[in-house]
Amino acid sequence: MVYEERIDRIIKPNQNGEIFLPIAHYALVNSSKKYKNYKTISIYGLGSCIAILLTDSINHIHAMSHVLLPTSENKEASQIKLPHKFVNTSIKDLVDKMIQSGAKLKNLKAVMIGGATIFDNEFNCIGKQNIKIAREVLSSLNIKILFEEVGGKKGRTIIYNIGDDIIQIKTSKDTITKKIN
Amino acid sequence: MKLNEGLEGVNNSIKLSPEQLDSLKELGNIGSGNAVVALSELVNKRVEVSLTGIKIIPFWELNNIFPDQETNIFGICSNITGKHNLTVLQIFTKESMINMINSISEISIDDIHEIEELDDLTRSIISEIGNILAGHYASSLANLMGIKLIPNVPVLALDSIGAICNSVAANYSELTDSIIIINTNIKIEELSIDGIICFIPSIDTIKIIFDLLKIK
Repeated sequence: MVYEERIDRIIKPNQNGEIFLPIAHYALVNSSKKYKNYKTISIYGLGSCIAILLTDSINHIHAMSHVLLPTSENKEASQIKLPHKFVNTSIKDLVDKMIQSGAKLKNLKAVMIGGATIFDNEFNCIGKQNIKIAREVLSSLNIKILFEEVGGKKGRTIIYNIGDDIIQIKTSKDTITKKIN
Repeated sequence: MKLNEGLEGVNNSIKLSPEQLDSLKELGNIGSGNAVVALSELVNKRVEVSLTGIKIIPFWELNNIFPDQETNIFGICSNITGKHNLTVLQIFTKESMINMINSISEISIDDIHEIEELDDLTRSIISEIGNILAGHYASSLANLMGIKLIPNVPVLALDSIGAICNSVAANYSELTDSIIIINTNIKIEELSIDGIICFIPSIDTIKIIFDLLKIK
């Protein structure tokens, strides 16, 4: 795998093999047996932000980002130090990094979670815009969305179990567990 | 409720001089002082206030500075938009909010699970508490600087701090990666109310404030 110097990539899991993903950060892992030290990628308190998980199950490459805003339209690409702050640049960066690590574009499938409206009478609909842009960008790259758990009014916590390829999505009300591939 | 200590090893894109930091803290003291007087009149009890703190953090660490990431808390967010962009965010534990509602109104609530289940009266009581605190906070700053700061109707949330901070971070981090947060803890011992008032100005507003107060 290629390890590039990037401040926004979480490489080291904690001692339990967990990776916690802050906003505007991403993680890229290989789930083949050689890389046993990674167990889960988690995001706590996902509100209007959106989590994008791309997987290539054939080459065992998985990447997830935690994205804040829909588009970087007002900024030049070169000015963006944190591509995973914006949905459009995040998906492109994830795809690039995955391909560099041995994934194939045609194998990529996506899972999308988040984009809730947390405040009532929300002043902006960032969550909804995040979902819309993510769908647009994924379809423009011909990446199939395996499933999405988006919108609503509840914050979510997600735990992606890398080895089993299972994602757990918790809200204060219930927990959903899904096998991805 | 206390804010966690600042995190180390962070690259800040905003650098403020000691004078600038002090003056922002002082604004926080004045604003929260006025807000607390209003709150104390509302509940008719003594309110304890901490000294105001200031933190400059990257937007993705906003939720980390609050204690207790897991449980649901009340967030009341009053935005001031237009020429000046700033937010007064009030955070209360769920129990605090229930105690507050029960003590200032005839309503008696045991528990709240989500905002949607609140009836109109309870909801407007919470909004009004938010309005009073944010309004007094903002108007004292406005008077000091000779500008107009009128908060919009507050928006409410009952969720984890991470989810609540997402919206605030989204509002302030389109152009910069740092957020300035000026926070004051409040406590009403007799009613077991525990909360934090945060004043979050945009970078542009900070510049205007420094210009108006002639701080370099």
